[in-house]
Amino acid sequence: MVKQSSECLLDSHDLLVNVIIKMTSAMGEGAGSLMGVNGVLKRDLDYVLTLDKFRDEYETIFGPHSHFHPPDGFLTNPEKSTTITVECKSGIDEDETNLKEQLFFYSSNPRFKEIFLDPYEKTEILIVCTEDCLTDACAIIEDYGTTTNCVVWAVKKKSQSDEFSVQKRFGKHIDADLNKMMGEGKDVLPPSNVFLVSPHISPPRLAAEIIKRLLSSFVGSLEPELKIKQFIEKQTDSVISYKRMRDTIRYVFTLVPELGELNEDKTIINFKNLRNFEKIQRKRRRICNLSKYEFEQELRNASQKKRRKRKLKEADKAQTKIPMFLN
Amino acid sequence: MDEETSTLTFEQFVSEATEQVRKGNSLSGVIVFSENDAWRNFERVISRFNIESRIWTADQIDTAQNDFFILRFTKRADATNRADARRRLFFIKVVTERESNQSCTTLYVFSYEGSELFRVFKSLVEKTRYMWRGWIGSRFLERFDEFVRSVYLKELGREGAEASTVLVKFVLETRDVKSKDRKGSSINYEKRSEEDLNKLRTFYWKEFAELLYVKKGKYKITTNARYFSVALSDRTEFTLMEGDLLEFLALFKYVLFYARELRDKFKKKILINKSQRAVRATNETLEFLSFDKIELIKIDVDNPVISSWRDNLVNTFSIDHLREFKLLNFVLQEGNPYFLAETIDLENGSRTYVSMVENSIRISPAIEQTEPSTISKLFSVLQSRVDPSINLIERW
Repeated sequence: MVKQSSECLLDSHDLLVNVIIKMTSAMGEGAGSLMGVNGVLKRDLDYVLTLDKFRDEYETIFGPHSHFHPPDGFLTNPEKSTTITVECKSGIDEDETNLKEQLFFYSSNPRFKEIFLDPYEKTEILIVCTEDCLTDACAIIEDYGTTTNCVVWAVKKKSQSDEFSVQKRFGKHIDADLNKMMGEGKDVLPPSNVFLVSPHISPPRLAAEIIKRLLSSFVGSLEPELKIKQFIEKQTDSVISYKRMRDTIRYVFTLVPELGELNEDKTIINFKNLRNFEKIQRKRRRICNLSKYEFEQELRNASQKKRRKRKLKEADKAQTKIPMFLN
Repeated sequence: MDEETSTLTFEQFVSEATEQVRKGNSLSGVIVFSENDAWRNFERVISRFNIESRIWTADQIDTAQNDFFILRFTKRADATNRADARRRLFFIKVVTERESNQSCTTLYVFSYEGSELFRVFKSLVEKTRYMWRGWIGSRFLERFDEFVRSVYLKELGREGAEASTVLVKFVLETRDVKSKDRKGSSINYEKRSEEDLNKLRTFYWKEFAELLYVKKGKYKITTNARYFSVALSDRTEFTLMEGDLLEFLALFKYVLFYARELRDKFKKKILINKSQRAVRATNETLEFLSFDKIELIKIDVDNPVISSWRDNLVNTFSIDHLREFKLLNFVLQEGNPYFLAETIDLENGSRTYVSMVENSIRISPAIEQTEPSTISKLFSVLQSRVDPSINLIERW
C-alpha cells in the first residue's frame, strides 16, 4: 500500500480564514476561463477582506505588555464606511489567543482604533467560529458585554455535500444588507488554496510550512544559495512577521539538517544536494504533529546535539594539530 | 568549439526532409514552448550541458535566417576526431515570435535521430528553465481521428472530410494506481471505437487494478491526394514515417493551436494586493494584504470511465514522492470527498494546489502564477492515474 500517512492536515483555524477569503475574493473558475466569479460578499455587497501583515513593530506601537493579538483580518466596505474586525475561532482560549482579552483589545484600545479602524464610521467585531465552539463564543460575548457591536457567524460542514454553510448565529450587523444575507446563511465551497494567513499559527505548524516552501524554493532555484531575507519577501501570501519567519527558518535548519545549513551569521541558506525527499517529508510530518512544548523540547535536544557535535569536531581538529606541531 | 554558420534555409530543410522521408528515413519532431524568451539563452544552457554531460557535447549553428538554427550533438568519444565524427542535428524553427502581449515563443524541433538522442534533447529542454515540451494529453490522442476530420471539414469541406480515413493504433501504458512507479509494460491496441477502448479499460481496472493511458498514437491518414503515416505522443512529439512534410505541417499546425490554447489556459494567477498605512504616533508603516483575485482550473468529471476515480485521486496525491512525474505531494485535507493536496514540481519548484469536490477537480496556484509545464504534468497524472476521461478542452 503506497498511501502514506498524511497527518499534517489543515488546521481548522486555517480553514475558517480561507473560507472567508473565498467569500471575499474574485474566483476565476470555469474550464480555464479568466471570467471571475466573485465571492458572495464581494459580488453582492462589495466587502473585501484585508489582512494585516503582522509586524515586529507592533510591540513598539502597542507597548510590550499590551496583550496585542492581531485579528485575522478586516472586512471592509469603503462605500458604506464600514470595517469589521474578523477573528476566527476553532476553539476557545487556544494557546495564545483568549477571546475575552481580544474583545477587550479590539473594542477599547485607542491605538488599535486609530491604526486599524480609522477613518471608518461604522465598526464592529465579527467572530467566525466552528459549530463546536459557537455556544462558548456567544456566552463569552454576552458575559463580556463589549461596547462595540459583536456578531458571530458559524461555519458548518453541510451534510451530504462538500459545501460549508456560513450563517450569522448571534448579534445583528450594522449593515442591514449584510445582516439579511448572513442571517439567511450562505453556502461556500471549501477552499482550493491555503495561504499563510493565520497570525497565531503554532510554531511546529509554521516550521512544517516553511520546510515545504524551502523545498520549493530550493528546487526552483538555479543557485545553491538563498538569502533568508529574499526567501521571506517571496512569501507574498504570508502575514507572519519577518522576525518570526527568520527565527523559524533557523529552527528548521537545526531540526532538518538534511535541507542544508546556514552561513555563520545565519543570513544565507546553503542548500544541500537534496536527494532523499521522502526523509525530509517524514521529518516534516513529524514536526507538524508535535505540540508546542514537544517542539521546543525537540529543538533544545537538536541544538544540544549540534553543539556536542561541533565540540567533538573542534576537539578532533585540536588533536590532529598536535602531531603536526611536533613534526 | 568554433562558431559555425550554415547556408541551409528552413524551406530547403523542408524539401530535403520530404525527400528523406520518401527514402524511408523517418523524421521526428516536437513542439517546444519558451516562456520569457528563455530560448534566447540557449547558448548558456548548452555550455552548462557541455560541462555536465559525460557522453555528449552540443553546439549551436546559426543560419542566415534569424528564426531557424541548428543544434548539433557530438559524442565526446568522437569529438577528438572531428572529421570522422557522426554529427547529430536538431533543426529548430521559431514558429511564433514572442509578441508584446504574449510571454511565450513557440518552436518546432525536427531531427532524423532516434529515441536515444531525442531523450538527450528532451533532458536539455527540461533543464532549461521556462522551456518545456508542449502537451496535448492522452485524451486528445484517443480522439485524434475526430480532430483530423474536423480539420479537414474546415480545410477541404464536407467531401474532403468524408473522404478522409484515419487508421489508429495506440501504445497504452499501464499503471497500478497504488504503486509509486509506472509499470514497465505497454500494450499495442488497434482502436475500434471509444466504447471498445473504455471496455478494455474497465476490464483492466476490474481484473488487475490497472489504468490504461494512451501514451502514443500511430495514425495512417488518407484524404484526397494526401497520405501520412505518423506517430504522435501526448507531449506533442511526432514521427513522420510517410508523407510530405509541408502537407503534414499544414495539419500539425492545428495540433499546435490546440497545445497553445491549453498552455494559455494552464496559466492561472493570484493577485495579492499590498497596501501600506503609516502610524502617525510612532512613524511606523504597517502593511496590509488582500486577495483580490484567485484563478483556478475547474475540471468537471461528468462521465468517468473509472467509477472509483475519487479514490484514485486520493491515493495518487497521497504518495509523498511521485517519482515518475517528479512531484512531491502534501495532503492538506481529507474529507469525504473534499480532498486538498499541495504539490511541488521538482523540475521548477512550482507549488500548486489540487483539490476535489464532489464531481470536480480544481487546480490552483499557491503563489503568483502556475507554471504551464507543471499543470500539463498534473493533467498527465490525472489522465494516467485518476481517470482517462479527464480533459480541459474537448472541442476541436
